Amino acid sequence: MHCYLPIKALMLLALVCAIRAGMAQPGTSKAVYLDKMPPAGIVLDNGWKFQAGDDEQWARPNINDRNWQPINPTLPPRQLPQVRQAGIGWLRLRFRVGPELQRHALILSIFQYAASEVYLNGQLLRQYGVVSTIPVLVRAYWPNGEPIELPLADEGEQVLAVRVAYWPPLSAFNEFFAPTFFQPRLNGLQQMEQNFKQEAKYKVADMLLFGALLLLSTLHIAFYAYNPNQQANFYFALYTLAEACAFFCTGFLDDVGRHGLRLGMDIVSYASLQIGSVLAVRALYSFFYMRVGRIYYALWIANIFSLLLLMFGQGLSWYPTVGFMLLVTAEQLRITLGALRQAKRAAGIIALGFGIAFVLLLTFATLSALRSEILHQEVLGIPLHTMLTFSAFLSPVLAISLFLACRFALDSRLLMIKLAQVRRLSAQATAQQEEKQQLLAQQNELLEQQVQQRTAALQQTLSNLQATQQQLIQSEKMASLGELTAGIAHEIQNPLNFVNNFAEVGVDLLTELKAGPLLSLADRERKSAEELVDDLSQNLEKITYHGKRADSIVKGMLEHSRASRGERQPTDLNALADEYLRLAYHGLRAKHKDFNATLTTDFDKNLGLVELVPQEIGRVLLNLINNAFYAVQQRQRLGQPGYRPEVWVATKRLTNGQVVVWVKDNGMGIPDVIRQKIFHPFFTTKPPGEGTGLGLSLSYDIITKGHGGTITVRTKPGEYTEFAVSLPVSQEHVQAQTLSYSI
Amino acid sequence: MRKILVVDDEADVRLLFEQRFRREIREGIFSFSFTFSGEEALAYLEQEPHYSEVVLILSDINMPGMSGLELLRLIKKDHPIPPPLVMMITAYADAGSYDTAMKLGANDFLSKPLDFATLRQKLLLLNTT
Repeated sequence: MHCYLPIKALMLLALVCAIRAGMAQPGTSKAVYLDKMPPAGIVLDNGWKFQAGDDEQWARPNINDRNWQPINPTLPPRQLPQVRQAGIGWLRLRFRVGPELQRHALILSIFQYAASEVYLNGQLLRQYGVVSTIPVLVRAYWPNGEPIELPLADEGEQVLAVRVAYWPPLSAFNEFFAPTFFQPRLNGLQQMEQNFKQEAKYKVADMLLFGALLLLSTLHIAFYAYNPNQQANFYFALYTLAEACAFFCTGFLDDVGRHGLRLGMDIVSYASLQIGSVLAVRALYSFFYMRVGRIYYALWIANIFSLLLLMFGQGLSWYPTVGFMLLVTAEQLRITLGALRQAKRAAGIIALGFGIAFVLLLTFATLSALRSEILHQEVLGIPLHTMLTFSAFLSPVLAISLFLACRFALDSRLLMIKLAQVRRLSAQATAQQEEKQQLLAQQNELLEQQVQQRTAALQQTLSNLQATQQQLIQSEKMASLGELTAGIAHEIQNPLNFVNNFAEVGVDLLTELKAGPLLSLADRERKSAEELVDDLSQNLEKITYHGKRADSIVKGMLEHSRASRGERQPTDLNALADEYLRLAYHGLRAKHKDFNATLTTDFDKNLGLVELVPQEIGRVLLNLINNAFYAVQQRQRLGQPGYRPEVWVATKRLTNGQVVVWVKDNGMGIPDVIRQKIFHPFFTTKPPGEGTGLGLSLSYDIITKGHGGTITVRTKPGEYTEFAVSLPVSQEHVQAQTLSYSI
Repeated sequence: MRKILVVDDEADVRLLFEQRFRREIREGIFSFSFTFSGEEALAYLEQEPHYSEVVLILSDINMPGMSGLELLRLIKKDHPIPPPLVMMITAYADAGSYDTAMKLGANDFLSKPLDFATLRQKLLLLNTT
């Protein structure tokens, strides 16, 4: 890309220079004598004559052409105005062949930017294109020096006559695209072989470059497709594609016969070259992350301008392209050096690529200017110039490709590292997530357990509450029952008093009757009257007896309604319990001499004094203890073997400021149906006359209403009964207790 | 002969007293008058001969209309001189009514059912003074 041109163009240029040098020789009207075959072959540029117009006779060898104008047809068409003016004309060359050359096969090759018919000694050898007197119909043709065998006349002068037509479109274009009008060459077999070999090498070099560039282009397009962020790849691919196009056009240029197409391809090759170089600049901008600025757009304008000049500029030869390439090179150099200065990543590779190309081209330019023969020397069968230019063209491209590949590799390595990091991190995250989930599950479980515990506690509380509620309802019932009982008792009391009083008075009256009036009766009558009076007295006594019985019941009932008669005072509950236990036991022993029971006491020594009404609590204890004795007595009567009646009394001070008194017996126990009713007034299991059914009812009232305590029972029928009386230690507790119940 | 006024809403009280104390009545130791409410008792006492005759009033506390305690208060207020003796009788022998009765100037406090033997002792003791 640095000042690079297709190889073929360079060689043609060299050819033109050589021709110009040859033109310096003075021309003669005599026939050209060819006696030796030089190694490079013979260019037939000398001794030609031209006549405008068209006559088929002019092909014949023996016509008079002395008046024809001498001409060098190998010059560019632009330098042959006579031909252009004529449009069609004839060229003739007389030549002789020396004896040495006659022994070899002579081969004619034609290179032309025109249409022609070639005659040797009046005989048509070849027709290239369409030669016509009408300029529009002329079709120029590029024979590309195909070998034409020369059937020479045995001896003497040979005449080469060419009917040639100018191709008008050529005049519009730069003469650079048509460096010669009509160039015949004579070669031996050796030269032909050499030429073909050379041609093949040029083509191989072009095709190699074309293939390599196309491959790179495809590769980088693929890179770009995979990673559209790397725009450098895109521009580099476009650049290599353009270069590939240039080499394609150059490589196949000589295989195209029709000049219209050939000219187009030639121009396309230069245009591709230039556009490619601008794209290379764009790619460099991308490589080094530089901003696209005015210089870049200016390059595009210069590119278009220089291309126009190259195509249509007269006498400018290829210098527009050379100038433009210099410009582009300067910009590329600037970018690369800038990148090097900033020590951008891998800028060195590109710089190296450019450096190699620059050095190679410089060598090439120097050698071609000073010792061009060295360029034609072959190393390993490849000409030095091909080697130089080939490497020069390829090295920056390869450098850039290498650079991009490097970057791609680096990026992908970086990506791999990042991927590994991401994987590690995501593994960590997953692990953490799992850990969290596990923790959450544990906490969930804990919570569940707590909820269950709480629920259980709540259930417990609820059932407690329900029990309490039941108790409250019960005590409410009991309270109202107690009041009712008291009311009834009071109402009954008055009439009962009358019954008793009148019964008593009746007895008095009867006694009086017996002592007084009855004595005045006759004996017999008095006797029967006394009998009647005695019966009446007995009846009245019975009325009194049962009246008293009813009275004692009523009195018991009235105890319910009676407000506390005693005062609360700090009392030694242990002593009280002990006293009443003995009282009850001895009371029972007085009635039933054969009764015996074990008494067990377990008094809490730390019980302390309890505020209570001693008479009332004593009464409760007496009640309970009497019941206990009654129960064990009943069981004893069953005569169970090994049965030993026992009554326990125990006290204990609880931490919640309560004291409890337990009275337990191993008696009959209380069946469930009965247990519900034991605190009801008038409920008794004793036979009539032995119990009023008010003992426990009264005890209940005393404990709950009078002292703010509770009385509960635990029992198992046939085994034991245990009453627990709990009392608050002091009055404050009573109030607190009452308050909490009222809530 | 000492006149005793018994105030009780129970009509049979009269029969009971007359039978219980028949000997004393017969012998002229006591004489009983009966009224069946506090109002009636007050009206009885308003009559001039009665007031001076009555030396003792036995009154039930719980009666329809005027209660025994009210009656006690009125008697002690309206008839300061000479002070009649007043004995209160009640079925509800509670501390509250006992205290009130004593504060109002009751001379004695008896509980039902009446123990006539005790009452007789008290009345006879009264007679000797």
